[in-house]
Amino acid sequence: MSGLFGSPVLEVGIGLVFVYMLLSLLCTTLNEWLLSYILKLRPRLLDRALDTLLSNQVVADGNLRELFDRHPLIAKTTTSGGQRAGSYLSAATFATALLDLVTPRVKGVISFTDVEAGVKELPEGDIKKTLVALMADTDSELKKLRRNIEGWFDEAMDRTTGAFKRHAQAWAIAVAALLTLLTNADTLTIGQRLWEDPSLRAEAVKLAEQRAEMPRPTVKVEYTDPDDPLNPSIAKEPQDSLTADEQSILGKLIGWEKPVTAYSVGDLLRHLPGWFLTAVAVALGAPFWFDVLNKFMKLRNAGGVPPEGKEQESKSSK
Amino acid sequence: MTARIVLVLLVSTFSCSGGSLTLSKAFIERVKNAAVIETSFSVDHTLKNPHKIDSGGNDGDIHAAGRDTAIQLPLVVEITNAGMESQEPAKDAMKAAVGDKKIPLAGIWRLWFEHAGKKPQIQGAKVPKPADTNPDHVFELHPLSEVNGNDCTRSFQPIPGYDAYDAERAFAEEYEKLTCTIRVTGTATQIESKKAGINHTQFRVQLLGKPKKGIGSAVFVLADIFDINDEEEKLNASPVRMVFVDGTPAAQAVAALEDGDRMNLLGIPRVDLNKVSAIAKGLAPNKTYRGPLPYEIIVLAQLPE
Repeated sequence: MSGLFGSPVLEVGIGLVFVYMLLSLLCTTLNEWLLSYILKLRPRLLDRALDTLLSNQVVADGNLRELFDRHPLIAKTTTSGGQRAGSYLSAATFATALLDLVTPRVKGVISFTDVEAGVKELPEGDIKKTLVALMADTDSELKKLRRNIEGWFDEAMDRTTGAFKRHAQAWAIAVAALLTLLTNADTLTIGQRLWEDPSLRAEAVKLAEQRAEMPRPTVKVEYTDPDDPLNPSIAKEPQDSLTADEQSILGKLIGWEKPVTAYSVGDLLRHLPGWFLTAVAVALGAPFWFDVLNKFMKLRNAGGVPPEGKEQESKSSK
Repeated sequence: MTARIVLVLLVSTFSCSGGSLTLSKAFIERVKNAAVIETSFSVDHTLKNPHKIDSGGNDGDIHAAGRDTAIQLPLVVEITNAGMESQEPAKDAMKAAVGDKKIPLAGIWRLWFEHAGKKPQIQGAKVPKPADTNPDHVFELHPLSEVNGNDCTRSFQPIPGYDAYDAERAFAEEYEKLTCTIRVTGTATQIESKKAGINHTQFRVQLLGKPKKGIGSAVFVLADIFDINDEEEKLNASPVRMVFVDGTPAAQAVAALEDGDRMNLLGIPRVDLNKVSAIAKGLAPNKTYRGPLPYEIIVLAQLPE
């Protein structure tokens, strides 16, 4: 090895990127827990989208929003307390329930004419205007009307998804800052420890190499309910969690050495730049740092002997 | 040494490049749980005769290329088992329409990065007139279920004399290894994938749940995949969705089965837009998904035990 390759400078860089990645994974887990179980953000935003589409609208049998939630197709997605249990509602289910609600007198299969008659009987209001507009350019075909209603719902859900992402991003930054403070993850201190302790640095690089071999942390979507091939959900992967060795090295690189109250104000202020750097880095997310880590590893390997076993593997694959 | 560093960074940066497709989110939501798309199609070119039947691309299909109103991408449509007598009216209708005439078509949508070409494809952008029956394309209606009022669903059966890829080759060595990049904007989703291949494959499935109706004639069921000659080794990492068309022999056969039952199938892969949609919704702003290409299998026929 020569120059930058395999040098302490590059190894400290690898160690820092590795720590950022591990903290980002922790941050993602915390954030998901917060959004899913504490804030219940997705179900709330879905409710808000339905409010926008349906609230304050009256149909023959009462308030449309309440009737919608009580519809058998929709009631399955709410708990006994009336709270939304799931975070997803398909456009097809929405359209079916809505068409059913505007044709309360029709028993059995509904036709376009049934819907037309039902809409005419609706009290004046936004939902009537919307449905009349959606009935245009349908050539009196129920299939086309259904498609228009689904498109209307999808547009509302797109806005909801956008709102969710903005909320999630804001919470990710807040959680990154909180995690940084709680764990005293000061970039400058971490860098100094890696620089001054060659054995700690070697351990960090070795674990970073192992982490770089793992699949990239990313959104993984699976069909988790074998009887439901229509609604996949986001799955948790082993690489989204920290190994025991990774937890151990984090413990050596970050953390408070004494109770916070034992630090002077000056000591705490000296940590501010390092905390800031860490919080910003962690907010960039684990996939980003995984990619950077792999580039650092390729750079390191480009200057020296590939890690044991790799040379053999590359020869045998030709 | 500097050149070496630059090379390493360039290779790592561009190693995921390949075919690129941008689809409107509304379109994805409309078709993700559908099998068949109906459209109005201008037939620019069609083959005179079906492919011969052997293996690989010699699959007995007949191709046509053109432009349509519903998908608005470079589009290739294919009648499978095109040598069958029952497919003559559909083939004749396709040939008669070559030129400026538009005909109504219906077929199973299929997105697959096999003939992507170098230029990114953007849904809704002007589609140039193709030069032949196989222009750069990622979107197909394959197989067709109706051509100008002529039903093609009798073609959904085994292809006599055709040697499809075995499951080990298709799933373990190809589909399961494909990766992609997904990015989202306000109204669109971009998918980039390396070139994909391996169309027709024969395999054995073990049903994981009950078949469920999707949009229109679509019927879906989740399954594990095995090689027909090796029922022990599962070839998929996670459940794979099978896409049936209601009323076809294979759909009737699967409807009679219970979860845990097994059957042999002939199918072709397509990108699973239902998963793509879920991934896009799960991505944080300005983030990119890089991971396995979500795929599902269009079932063409049940194969004998």
